[in-house]
Amino acid sequence: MRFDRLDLVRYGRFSEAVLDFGSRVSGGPDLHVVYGPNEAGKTTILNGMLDLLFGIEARSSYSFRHGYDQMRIGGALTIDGQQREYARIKRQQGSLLDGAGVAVGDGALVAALGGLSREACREMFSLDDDTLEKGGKSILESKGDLGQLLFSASAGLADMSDRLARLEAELEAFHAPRARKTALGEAKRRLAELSERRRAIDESASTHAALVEARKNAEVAYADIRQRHADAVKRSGELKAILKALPLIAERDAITHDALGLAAEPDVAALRDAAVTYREQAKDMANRNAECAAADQEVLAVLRLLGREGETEPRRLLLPAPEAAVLKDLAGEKALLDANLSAAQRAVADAREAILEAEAAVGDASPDDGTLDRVKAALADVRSARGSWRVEELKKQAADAAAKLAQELQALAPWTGDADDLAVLAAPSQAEVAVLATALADAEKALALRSQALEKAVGDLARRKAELTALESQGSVTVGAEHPALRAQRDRLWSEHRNRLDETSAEAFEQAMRRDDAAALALLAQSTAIGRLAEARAAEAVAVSENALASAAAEKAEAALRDARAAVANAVAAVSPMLPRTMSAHGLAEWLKRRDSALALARAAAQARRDHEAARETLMALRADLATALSAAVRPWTMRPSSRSWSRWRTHCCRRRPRCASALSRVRGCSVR
Amino acid sequence: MEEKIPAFRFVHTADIHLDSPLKSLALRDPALADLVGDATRRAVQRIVDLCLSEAVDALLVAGDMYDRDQTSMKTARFLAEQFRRLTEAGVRVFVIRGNHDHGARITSGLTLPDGVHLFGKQPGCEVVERKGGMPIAIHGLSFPSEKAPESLLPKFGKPRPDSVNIGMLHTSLGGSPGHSVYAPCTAAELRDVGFRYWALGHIHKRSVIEGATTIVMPGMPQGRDINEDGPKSVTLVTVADDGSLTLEERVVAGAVFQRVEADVSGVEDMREALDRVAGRVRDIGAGMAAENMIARVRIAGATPLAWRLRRDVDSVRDEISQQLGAGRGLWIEMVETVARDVGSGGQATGAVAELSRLAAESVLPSEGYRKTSADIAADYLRRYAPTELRDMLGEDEPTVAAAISALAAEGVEDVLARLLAEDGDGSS
Repeated sequence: MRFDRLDLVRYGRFSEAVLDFGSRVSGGPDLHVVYGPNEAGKTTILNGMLDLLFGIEARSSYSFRHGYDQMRIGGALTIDGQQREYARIKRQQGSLLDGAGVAVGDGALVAALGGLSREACREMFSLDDDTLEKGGKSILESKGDLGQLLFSASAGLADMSDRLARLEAELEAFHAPRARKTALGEAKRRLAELSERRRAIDESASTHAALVEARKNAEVAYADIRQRHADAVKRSGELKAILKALPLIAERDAITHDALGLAAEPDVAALRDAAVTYREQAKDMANRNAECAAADQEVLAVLRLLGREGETEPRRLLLPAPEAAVLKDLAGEKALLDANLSAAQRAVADAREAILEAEAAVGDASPDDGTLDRVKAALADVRSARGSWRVEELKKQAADAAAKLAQELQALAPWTGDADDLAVLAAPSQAEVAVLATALADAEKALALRSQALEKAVGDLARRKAELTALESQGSVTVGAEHPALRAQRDRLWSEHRNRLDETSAEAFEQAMRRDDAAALALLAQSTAIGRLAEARAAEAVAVSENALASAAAEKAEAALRDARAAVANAVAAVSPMLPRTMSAHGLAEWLKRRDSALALARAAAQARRDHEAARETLMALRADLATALSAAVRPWTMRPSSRSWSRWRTHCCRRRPRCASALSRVRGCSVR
Repeated sequence: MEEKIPAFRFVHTADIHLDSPLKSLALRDPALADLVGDATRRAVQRIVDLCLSEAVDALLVAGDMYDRDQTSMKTARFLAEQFRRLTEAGVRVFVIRGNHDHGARITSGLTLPDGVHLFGKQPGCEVVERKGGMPIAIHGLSFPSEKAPESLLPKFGKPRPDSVNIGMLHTSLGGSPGHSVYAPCTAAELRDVGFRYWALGHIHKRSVIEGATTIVMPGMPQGRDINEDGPKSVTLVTVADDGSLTLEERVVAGAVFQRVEADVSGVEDMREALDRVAGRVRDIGAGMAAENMIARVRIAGATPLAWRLRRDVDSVRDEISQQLGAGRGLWIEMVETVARDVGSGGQATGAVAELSRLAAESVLPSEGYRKTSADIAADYLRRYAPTELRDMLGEDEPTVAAAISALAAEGVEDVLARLLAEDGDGSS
């Protein structure tokens, strides 16, 4: 705001006075000095400016020349760069007039002054010597709201004090030395809280070390507790098992022992086994029966073959031993003869072929004198002497037979001797030995059966005895005796009660009745026991007698066995004193068999020997004959050959020589051997 | 098929700062606090996942696995568990300690699984023999103490002949003004050692110098607040049998802190201004490799809305968050405004602008004001701030003074905004 011009129209001593300050000179200073002697009106001008801006005071001291209703001040003001004309008259309302003399509100001026009051304005701008001193001091001391007013006015801000108060409040909300709740205080409290929390969260090195140590300890403790837990679990298992067992034990203890039943247990088991065996054998029996029937059929067929139908005793079918031996020898001989026959037949065939070859070889060259006939005759002799060239073979057979015989004789040990000694022994027939053996086996089997029966009987007896003892130990019969007396007493008390029919008699009867019932029950129980005891005693008696019978049978069987053994020993001794007396029937039969075979061999050996001798003799004779015949035949044949026949012979010989030579060599070979 | 000698591959990371406490304003939003709170752990898991899926031979961690003042063994145990996943899969792990994890109390209680090699204070050399290929020699050295004002390079041994030599070192390199130096050294000095690859750590921002000696500062795998903004990664290195290296940057961060500047010059409508800011955040977010972007939005430009934007900055933040929508991986950590006021004429005038200028030009820089404000700040910090925040304005005087100036300037603007902005409209 700038005063461009001040009109003191009618004010104090001034009338129509004008102070024109001119427009602001840009760039230059804008300071105006108004001066004058005392009482010239300088203070009046200052006051007039205030009156223009704020209105003429109610009791103005500048009305001494122009009255209140005449007073008027005006001027030109530059506000916010705009010049305006204003005038002020003394009036209650509408005292400010614009340039046209129309009343306007004070608003524009108030705004331009920024709320500055008249008082403040005077203190700041309208200073006389006195107020200058007063106002300057006030500013310096920052008393009142002068500075604020000044700023507020120059900045054009309204309600400055409110704004400052708000700022102040804002500051105090952040911090005030003695205030309770401030942002700073709150923040500090929060900081302390956070520091505390951080300390709590942080883990110091020493805490960490302690924790590591604690963990180690905890691990040890954990391992220990695990072990203990495992032990406890184990123990718990044991206890559970015991708990489970307890009722079982109680149950077991509650079981009464049935001695009889327990004692019978082996029997039951034996019976069960026997039943099984029986069933199996019954099945087997059927098969055996079938086999038996088939065997019977076979026997019938064989009997028919033998012409002995209806024969029931197999023993009678056996050939007597000597006949059998002879038969066997004959069979052996026949086989040998058959073999010789076939060998001889082969030899005949060979010889025949040799003759044919020889004849062919001789062919046309053969001399037709009697020499050929003599050779032929000699050959016919050779042909008729069957097997004569097998003399070496026969010799070998004889040697083999002798060696086999020696072996067989050795196998007869401990008996020693030659074939003749053997032949003269009085040997029982195989049938006789078989009878002895059967008798012995029967006796042994019988004895085994008896012994088994005896054993069973002994066992049976022992068991019976045990049962009996058990029953006897169960208690004696004691109650039975007093029962009739109790019964009599009861009857007596009954009749008494019937007579009296009072409490005492009833009670007495009741007691007697109870005793009697008890006795009757006991008697009943005992009678069962007595019955079982009697049964046991009877069973024991049976067992004793069975036992005796079984022992007698066993002894008898033993005697039979002894007899059978003696019979065998006698038979052995009868054959030869060289045989051991302990030889069994079977052994004897075997020995006899071997003896028969040795005898047969002895006969075969003798035969072989004889055959060999005969063959040798025949051979010697034939050799002599053939040699004679051949030497007679060969001589003329070599002496007189015709020239024609010679060449033919030669040719023939050349062709046949190999075969002829071989035939000759074969003949010669026979002879030489 | 030709039998090829497989290349030696390893993942190089550093400065994980596992479980580092949240200092972010993100704490105000519980969902965001969860995201940021778990971020370093998730990054470690992802590094291990990466190692397993790429079937690398080794993981190299060049120091600062966790903070110096980390006191929780849970952190140590988590690391050990994650490393065990690797060693069980036959991936070897090589670790050096940096200035942070050197002195942490949990270091003594941490038992690393077999297969993790921790280099000691004296330099060591681990040789990885390879069937048919050149052996790999890994040299490493842990921080000898919390500070290492001298270069540690002289301690390293000579390169192993006929091998691919890899060095592991925690170093601040040349250092930056105003910060302590840690095992300082230069790229030239590193080259002079003669190794093929330097696996460095300490500086949280990635930098790579390739050459005969390739020097890699992998940067941290996951930022923790807006001061660690921008994409974070680990480096996957393939050593071919001829000694040539291939570097791949792999993002493992689940969330990226990102500064977003939005210009609202000339915008006069509040709704339009909000739309423009949200659109800007969306655009920047679309180019991010990580699933989450946590943005600090700075509104700039000349607009008549300047005072209102400043006064209502909290509701502006809420409005933009709401526009971006939940579950899209876009988060607003904070909105700040440097928008300038313009009157309807285009130039800020009037008493308020004048007062603003007056404060900025005359009051704030004045010695008296500085002293008074410094005293007040010191007094308030001593009397009212929690112990943890005593150094919130800085640790040395120039830093504190600068912080106070900045705060005062902001304060003037904030107060003026509250005096000026009109009520009843906009978002207030």
